[in-house]
Amino acid sequence: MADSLETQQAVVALSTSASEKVRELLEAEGDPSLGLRIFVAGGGCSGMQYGMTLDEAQEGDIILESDGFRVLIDEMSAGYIQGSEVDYVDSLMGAGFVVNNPNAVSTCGCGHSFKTAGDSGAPRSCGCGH
Amino acid sequence: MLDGIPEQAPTGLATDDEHAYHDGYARTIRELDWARRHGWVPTERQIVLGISQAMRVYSAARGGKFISGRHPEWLHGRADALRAALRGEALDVDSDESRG
Repeated sequence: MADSLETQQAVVALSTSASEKVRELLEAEGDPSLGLRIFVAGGGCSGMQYGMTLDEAQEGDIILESDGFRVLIDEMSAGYIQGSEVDYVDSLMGAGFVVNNPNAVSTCGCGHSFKTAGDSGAPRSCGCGH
Repeated sequence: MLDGIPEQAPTGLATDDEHAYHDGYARTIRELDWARRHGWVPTERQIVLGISQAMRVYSAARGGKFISGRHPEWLHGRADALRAALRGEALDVDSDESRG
């Protein structure tokens, strides 16, 4: 599903639909210095959650070149989302970005929340109803 | 609810950011409350690590335009809630377990 990013060690990959949506958002901003920032925040029905912003690169960021734009990840977040794939889903349930994380042993249907083996040790239902 | 820690986060942020900040603050207080009622009391070191992690990611993300998932200000609220917990207020374990 995902297009490989042109990096020595891909931290994340974006699907075609996600790349198209990000380009659309960046074009609307009209600022070539902006890229897609992906970060991890504590808390969520399955332990950790993602956030995304359009932002300029900062010192210490891991910068990935994608299809015509940059993906920015701070060092703290990079360890949690290594190998993840970002997709953009537009369905009857709504439209939005979904992150598929291979490190997650349990995830939530919202697509934003996950828990890694180091956090929990075993998969389980998050019980949020998704 | 953690006795002595305000359930409502401090105010003063712009409207859109304020909601995310309050959500992060309240959510973190509920997490701490739930964990403590289940027998896990985080050490000062663990709380400080949590503050450090939240603030490092917040510092990286706060300048951007939010588009999806967690808002950067959520991390700001989380860090402030952890700071409140670090000040060492006593616990009240009567809160609702099903929250969060």
